[in-house]
Amino acid sequence: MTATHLPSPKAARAGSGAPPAPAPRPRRRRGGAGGLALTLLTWAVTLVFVAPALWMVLTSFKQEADAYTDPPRIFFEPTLDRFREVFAADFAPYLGNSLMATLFSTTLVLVLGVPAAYALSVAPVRKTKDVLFFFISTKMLPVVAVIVPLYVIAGRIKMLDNIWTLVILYTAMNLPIAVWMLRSFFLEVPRGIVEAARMEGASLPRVLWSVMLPVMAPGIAATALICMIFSWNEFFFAVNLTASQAATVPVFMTGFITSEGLYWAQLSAAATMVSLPIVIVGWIAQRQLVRGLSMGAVK
Amino acid sequence: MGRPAAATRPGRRRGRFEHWFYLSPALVVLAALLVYPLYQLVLVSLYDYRQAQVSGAQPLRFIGFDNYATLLGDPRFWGVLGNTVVFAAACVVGTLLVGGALAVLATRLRPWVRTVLFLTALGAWATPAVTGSAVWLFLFDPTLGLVNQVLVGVGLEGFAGHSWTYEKWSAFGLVGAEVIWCSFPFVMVTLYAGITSIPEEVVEAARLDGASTLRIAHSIMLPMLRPVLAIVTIQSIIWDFKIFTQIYIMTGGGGISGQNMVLNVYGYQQAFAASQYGLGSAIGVITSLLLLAITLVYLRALRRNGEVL
Repeated sequence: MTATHLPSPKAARAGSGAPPAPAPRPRRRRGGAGGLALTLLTWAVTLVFVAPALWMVLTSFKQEADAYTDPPRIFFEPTLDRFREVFAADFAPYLGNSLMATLFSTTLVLVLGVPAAYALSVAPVRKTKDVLFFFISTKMLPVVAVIVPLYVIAGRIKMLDNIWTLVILYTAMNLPIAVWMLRSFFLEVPRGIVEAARMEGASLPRVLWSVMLPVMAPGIAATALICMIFSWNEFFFAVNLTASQAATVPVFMTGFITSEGLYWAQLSAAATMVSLPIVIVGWIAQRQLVRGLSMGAVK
Repeated sequence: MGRPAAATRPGRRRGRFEHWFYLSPALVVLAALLVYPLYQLVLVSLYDYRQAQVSGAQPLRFIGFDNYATLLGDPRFWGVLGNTVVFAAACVVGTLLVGGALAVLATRLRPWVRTVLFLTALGAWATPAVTGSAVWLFLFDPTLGLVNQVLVGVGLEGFAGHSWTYEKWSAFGLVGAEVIWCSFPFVMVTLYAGITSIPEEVVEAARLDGASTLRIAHSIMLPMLRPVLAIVTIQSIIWDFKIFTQIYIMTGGGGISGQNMVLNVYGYQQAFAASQYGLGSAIGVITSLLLLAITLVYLRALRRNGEVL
C-alpha cells in the first residue's frame, strides 16, 4: 500500500522521502454486466476452494460414524473426542519438533537472507541478476533425486534423525524465495534516507540496522510467515531423514492416512490441528503480511 | 534496477567489498548444500548403478551417457515428459487464475468476509500436501465422498459410485485441483497485496473515463502487477513441475499402469522401486535442466518486455 496521495507508482519508487503508509482499504465499485458475471464466477470458484477446508473442520467435530453418512450430515452432535484421540496418539513430540524446525530455520533464513538481500539491493545490476538467478536455480533440483546423497551425508556425519538436519535443510530451502522477496522490500526504502545516512558517515551495518530495518519491518514479517508455512508443511525431507526422535507433524499425519479411509473424522481433526498454528499466526499477522508483501509489489 | 549509477558516490569502493561480505554467508550455505548432492546426482547418472552394484555383486561400471540414451530412446519416458509438461502447465495457469480471481474478489469484500477468505486460504496453505491429498481423496471418494453424494443428490445419478481416479485425465484433474488448492493462497495473498498498492486514483481515473472492469484489469492492473506475477509464476513453475507427493498419494504412485506418472515420480520409481539408481538420477538431472531452461526462457521473455528482475 503506497501512500494514496502519490500520483503514480513511479513517484512512489522515486521515494520522495515518504515511507509507505497504510492506506485505507480500497473498496472498488462493481462495473457492468461483465463485472457481474465475473463476480459470480469468482464466487463459485471461491466456494469450490473454500469448501474442502471447511468440510475438513466440520468433519473433525464428528463421531466417526457421522463422517460416512449418505446423505452427508451437516447437523450433528459435535464432539471433541477426535482431538483428544489425536493428542492421545502422542502428538506433542511431533509438534515440538515441527515448532523447532520451523522457528529456528526461519530465524536462520532471516539472519542469512537480510544481509544478502541488502547487498543485492545496492550492488551493480548485472551481477545482481546472476546471483538472484543462482538463488532461485537452487530450487530446481528435484528433492526426490537428491535425497539419497543427502541421506548418505547425514548418515556419515551422524545427523540422521536429528532436528538440526531439518533446520539446515529448511533454511536452504527457503533462503532463495526469502532473498528475492526481501530484496524487493529493500528497493522500496527511499534512497534519500540511505544516502543521507551514508553521507553522515554511518557504516553499512548501521544503515541496515537503524535506517532500513525499521522501515522494512512489515516486509520482514511477511517473509518470515511465508518461510514458516513452507517449513511447517515440508514432508519429503522429514519423512526420509527422521525416525522416532526428530519426526515432524507432517510425518505424524501419515500415521492416520496409512490406516486408509477408516478414520476420516480423526484425520480431519489432526489436519485441523496441524493447520491451526499457521492460521492463528496468519490471522494475527494478516495486516503485516499484506502491508509487507505490497511494499515490494508494484514497482 | 533503474537506479542511477552510483559508482561515483563516496564510500562505494569500500561498499563493493562489503557487499560480498554480506552476500557470502547465504551463498556459502546454499552452495554447500547444493554442490555435493548435485555432483553425486550427475555422477551416479553416468554409471550403471543397480541393485547388483549396491550389494557389490557386480562392479560399478562407468557408461557415460548411456542412461540418457536409454531414456531418450524410450517412448515411455517421452509419454511421462508429455504428461509432466501438460499437467504442470495446467496447474500453473489454474493456480494463477484462481489466485488472481480471488485476490481481485478480496479487494471488493467486506472486511469480515475477506478475513474468512484469508483464514480458509491460510488453512489450505498450512495443510501439508500429504494431508491435503487425503482430504481431497475423501471428498471425492466414489461412495462416501461428499462430491458424489451431492452430485447424486441434485439428480446426477450417473455419479453414484463414480471413480474420479480411474480415467487418466479425470485423475490428473483431481490431483491438479488439489495442487491448485494448496498453492493458490500464496498467489492470492501476494497479488492481493500487489493490487492494494496500486494507487486508487489511477483506477478511479480510468473508471471515470469509462473503462470497463476487464479493460482496467488488462490495461492498468496487469502491467503494474507484472513484477509480482513474475515471481509467483516462476515459483509455481518450479513447484508444479516437481510435483511428487500429490501424484504419489492420490493416484497410488502414478495411477493405473502408470498413466498418471510425472517425471519426479517416475524418477523415484526407477531409483527406488526398480533399483535403477543410475537411470533414476538421469531423470533427476533432466528434470533440473528442463526447469532451468524453462525459467531462463521465461526470464528472457520478461526482459524483452522491458521487465527487470
